[in-house]
Amino acid sequence: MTSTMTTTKTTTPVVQLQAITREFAGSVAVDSIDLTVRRGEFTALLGPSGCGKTTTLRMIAGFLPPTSGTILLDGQDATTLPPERRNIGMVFQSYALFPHLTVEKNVAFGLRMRGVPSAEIRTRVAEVLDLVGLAHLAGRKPKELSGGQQQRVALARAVAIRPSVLLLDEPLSNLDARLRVQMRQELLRVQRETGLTAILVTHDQEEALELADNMVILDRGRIVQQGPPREVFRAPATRFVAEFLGYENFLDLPGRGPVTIRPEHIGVLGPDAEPPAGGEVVEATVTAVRFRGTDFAVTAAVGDRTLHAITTDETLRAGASVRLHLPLGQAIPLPGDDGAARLGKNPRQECPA
Amino acid sequence: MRGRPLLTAVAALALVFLLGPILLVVAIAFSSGDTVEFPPPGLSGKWFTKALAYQPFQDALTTSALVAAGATLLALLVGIPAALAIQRRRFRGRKAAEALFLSPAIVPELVLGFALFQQLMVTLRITALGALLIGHTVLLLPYAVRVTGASLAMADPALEEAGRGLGAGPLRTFFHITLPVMTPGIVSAAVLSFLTSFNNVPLSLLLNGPGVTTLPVQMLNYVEFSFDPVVAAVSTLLLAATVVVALVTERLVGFNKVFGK
Repeated sequence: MTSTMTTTKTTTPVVQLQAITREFAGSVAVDSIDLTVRRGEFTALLGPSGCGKTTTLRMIAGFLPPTSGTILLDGQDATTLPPERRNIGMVFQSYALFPHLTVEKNVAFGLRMRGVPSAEIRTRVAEVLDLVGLAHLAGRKPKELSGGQQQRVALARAVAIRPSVLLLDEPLSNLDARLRVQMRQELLRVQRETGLTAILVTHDQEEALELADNMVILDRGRIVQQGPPREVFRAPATRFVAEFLGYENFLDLPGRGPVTIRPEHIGVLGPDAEPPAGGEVVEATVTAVRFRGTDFAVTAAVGDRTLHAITTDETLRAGASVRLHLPLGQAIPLPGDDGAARLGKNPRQECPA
Repeated sequence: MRGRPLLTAVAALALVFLLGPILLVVAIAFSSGDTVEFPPPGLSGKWFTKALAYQPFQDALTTSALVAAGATLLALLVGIPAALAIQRRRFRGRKAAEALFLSPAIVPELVLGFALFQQLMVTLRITALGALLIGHTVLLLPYAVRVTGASLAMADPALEEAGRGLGAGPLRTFFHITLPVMTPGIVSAAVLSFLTSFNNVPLSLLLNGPGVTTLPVQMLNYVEFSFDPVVAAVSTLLLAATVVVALVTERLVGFNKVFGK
């Protein structure tokens, strides 16, 4: 399979969105997005639900026409092309397996519609089922499969047509937590082995961090930051991005503007402990201690401000007075924030669709 | 139900009230006596022979079968596209359209029958068979729209998108995906529609003409003048046919689906 699907190295991006906008009854779901997806790359569209990422994916697939803007697929204008002529492989959140067809026929469907000779269909379906480890279930109906197996069939069906781009709409969100983590690596393996270009829509930052080559963070229909996951994680541009990636401590430093500090960098000092050099020490009252297995997450009040820290001190209880060491040198600036725009706003709240 | 004597008793009573009269009719059909009496004086099949040989029943059976089959077909031809539009499209007046298609199930059938009688037969001078066909089609529309619609409503709307994404155009998506997914619903709707039409009295009572009467109406006519077990024999035959249809449907699609579960 890999031999026939090795990526041809060209400079043409697989997907290009140019000023794509989509409005629903007056409200803007996607607001003038520009996005380039290169061949073989794994792109993740990450953001809170209802803020444009699924709408963007559906426009790339051709299920939804953009209100304005241009979609280029393999360099060709595909803005008004119907989905059946776009050569996209889509994995739906609900899997959308055809209930009246066996696993084998589900996977063969796209090839049949393309008029591939039946002998070739058989070998290609067998290859793809092998790839996802389901060859032994070829004769089953979808309802006779577990959630994880259905997910693999959906992936196999999308991969079988050798699409220009694999579109994944929250593909793992219907699986239980353990399986979800396993399937991430499975998804990555299939994408690497086939060399396919993939676009993943997710609200799960861990998933995006683990899978993506390029992580694109969306808020209210706009791209707020994009780049390799490590870069985005190390240098979130705004408080919204930082909060979405799990940062909890936000400070406004005189002369430096808004910054964030990771909880594990904040030291919880014992009564006699010498504070490390540099940074600042503040008096705080512990308001909550949560056991996390290997350590404890501490929430503490400093005046009217709340700080989050990590400690291994088992004796710490809510109500205790402690000193917190803030290593200001390790604080991450949030340059994209003007300081006021989004402070205090919960980024996970639903945006109007 | 163990440990709930009251519930068990009520359930048993309900069963007796439901099945009792039916069993009584079946017993009388096999009677060797000349009047409707219970217990029957002896057993015989003579009333079946007589019922089957009775010309008006034969004609009425033909009419009933014709009307039921024709009206079922017409109701499905109108109802399936209507169900598709109501379930899969968003348009102004979607709710109103759904209500309109379900309304024949709410309007009293005698009122509907009288209105159709006046308009179709008196004003437009349509034949009794034509009027029956049209009337029954209207009567069956709610079932056709509702039951096929239920099978669509249960299906994932992303199925059609999956078909399109895999390279099937709208028409091929309909025939390869939508229609097969709807098939159990269509079969259920057809069975339910056929039985509803076949058993209908109020509409058929008003929409008939010389030599054109449905079987239930012909049975009513017969009972008005003669009080022998012939009608019991016909009823037993209808019952047997219904049971066969129910069993076949159960094997094909599962009977709970017939009721739009």
